[in-house]
Amino acid sequence: MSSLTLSSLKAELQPRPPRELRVTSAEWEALLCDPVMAARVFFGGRLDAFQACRLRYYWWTQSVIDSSGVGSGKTIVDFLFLCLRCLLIPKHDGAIFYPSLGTGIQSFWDYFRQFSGNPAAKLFVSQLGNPLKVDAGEELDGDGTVHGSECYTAYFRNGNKLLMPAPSIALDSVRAASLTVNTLIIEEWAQIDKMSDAIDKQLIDRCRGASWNQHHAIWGNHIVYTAHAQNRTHPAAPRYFAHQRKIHAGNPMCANISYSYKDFSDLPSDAPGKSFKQHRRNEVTIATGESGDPAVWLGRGLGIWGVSGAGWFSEEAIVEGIKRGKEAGLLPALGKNQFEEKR
Amino acid sequence: MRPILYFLGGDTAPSENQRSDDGALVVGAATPRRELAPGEALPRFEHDWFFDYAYARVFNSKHRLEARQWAGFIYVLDQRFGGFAQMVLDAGSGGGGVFVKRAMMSTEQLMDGALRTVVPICDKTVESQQAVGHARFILNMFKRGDPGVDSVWPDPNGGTKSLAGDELLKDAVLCAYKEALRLGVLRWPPEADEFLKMNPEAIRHWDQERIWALKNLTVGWKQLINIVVETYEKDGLQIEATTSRGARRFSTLGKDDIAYAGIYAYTAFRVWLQGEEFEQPPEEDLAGFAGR
Repeated sequence: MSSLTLSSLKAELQPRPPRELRVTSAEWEALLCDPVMAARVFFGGRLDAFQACRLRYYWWTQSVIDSSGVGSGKTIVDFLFLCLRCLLIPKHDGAIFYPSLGTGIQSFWDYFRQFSGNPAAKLFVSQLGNPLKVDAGEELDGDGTVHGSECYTAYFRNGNKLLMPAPSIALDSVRAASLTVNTLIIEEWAQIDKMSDAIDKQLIDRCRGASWNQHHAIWGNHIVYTAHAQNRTHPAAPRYFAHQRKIHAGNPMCANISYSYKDFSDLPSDAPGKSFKQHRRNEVTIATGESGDPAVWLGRGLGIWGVSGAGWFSEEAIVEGIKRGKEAGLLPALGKNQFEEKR
Repeated sequence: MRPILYFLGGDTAPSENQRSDDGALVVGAATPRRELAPGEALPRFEHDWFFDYAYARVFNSKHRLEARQWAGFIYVLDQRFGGFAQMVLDAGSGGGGVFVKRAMMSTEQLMDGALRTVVPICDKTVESQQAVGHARFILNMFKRGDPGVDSVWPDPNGGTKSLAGDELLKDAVLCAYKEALRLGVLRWPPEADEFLKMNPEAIRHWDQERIWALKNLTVGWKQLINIVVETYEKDGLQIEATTSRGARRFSTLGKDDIAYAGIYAYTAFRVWLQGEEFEQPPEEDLAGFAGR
């Protein structure tokens, strides 16, 4: 007959989560080193090859500027990255800033609702915690997060939290002065740089939380800037090119990456029978964008920091040149005899 | 009668070694706008000429050309077009033009796969003239300090110095090209897709190379439209951005190899106009004559 001890009795009485909702320490180590696998395990979602690459860049590099074009899936990877950092790293808070809170609610925070209702993301949902109390002006939403007028917050069972504060960009984000996080994402940073000095004056300094090893590629604090590319005369360009110079100087903790809608591949997506290209690439939107100003599309669509400017040679003058050539019977030739035979 | 003179422009992409794996060659033909009387001197100014684009060829990474093969193909074109009057190759940093120039100094060239003895084509620098005794000094490298290029676009302060910066040379050449476009000097063959569709009988006996020349020339003028000058907004107006030396900043939205090869061909024409060779009417066996 086995002897009953207080500790064994406690262990029997304490409810244990089901096996599929438990993560062993060996599994945790593996997930910590492979964010793409962690995204699959926690959220059940499948990433395209370039999105997986992007997530790995965010995970392993402490300062990343992502200049990818619109429609290239930046926001979902932001969500996965920030949530995984809060889930897997102890004593680790994260924050994301948008130019306006409303934009963030519609584009980023909506993923909490989507994944809360997704049976494949039960491990993630099981890790969302509820606060012990909700402050005045806040309400606990059905997606498991707290919605305040100034800040949306997601609490995790390990004590970490993910915040999306109202940025108060016009006031150089003075209201963020007391915030301290370990991982920071600044969405639409080019727009914020155009509007104010909020990034330099406040936002970068928020990423100052204590970490286990500030120089480590994973444990150290991370900051990610995401926005589609602009032209080189944009107010955000100096930050991008200063970052580029650091990379050229050999700094391994910085990365500038850029993807576009063209990177969606033929790999199978979560939609049955469809590839990522078929499911995610909106051809009508792309065609509309391509037909506009090429300089703008270079940044918006393709994620390339190009120059803005006027065409140096007018199309009308070139067309006149073709017309003159036609009147002269000009045709290409492989040699002198061929060129001169009809002239 | 109207003499026709041929010029070559070449833009070779950056290469890490002698293997220049991407680039374009364009041939232009210059013809006086009007008939010349017998013994009449050739016109001195570019607006008295037509500059017709006659041929274009692109080499990319699939061809994997070495500098020697590049040089050999230039000699093939030189033979086909009865001898170029001048040629300009890009000599940008890291470009393959320098390697091609060196390969062209040899008297043995690989032409159409066969080794042939030729009169070498060299540039006009003192070093080349000392290195090669008998040659045709019609090659110009598109950079400051090249004698041919400096003769057209010297330092505005006078003397024998070159322009102060590379961006000033680029600004000057692109301005000259824009002026040529405005004056109606430049002419192109018709747009490739439209011509090939509307004239199937005419192209029935065309070589593939000739069809591709037409397509490349079409791509070339389309690439010209992609060359932009950087601007910034001030008081609602778009102002051209300049460097510290006052040159405009140019950039391209996309590829520009054929466009720049065409610009270099026109540059070769301008170098020829400036040089001494044309002051006398050309002899019959050096230039092609086409009577009407």
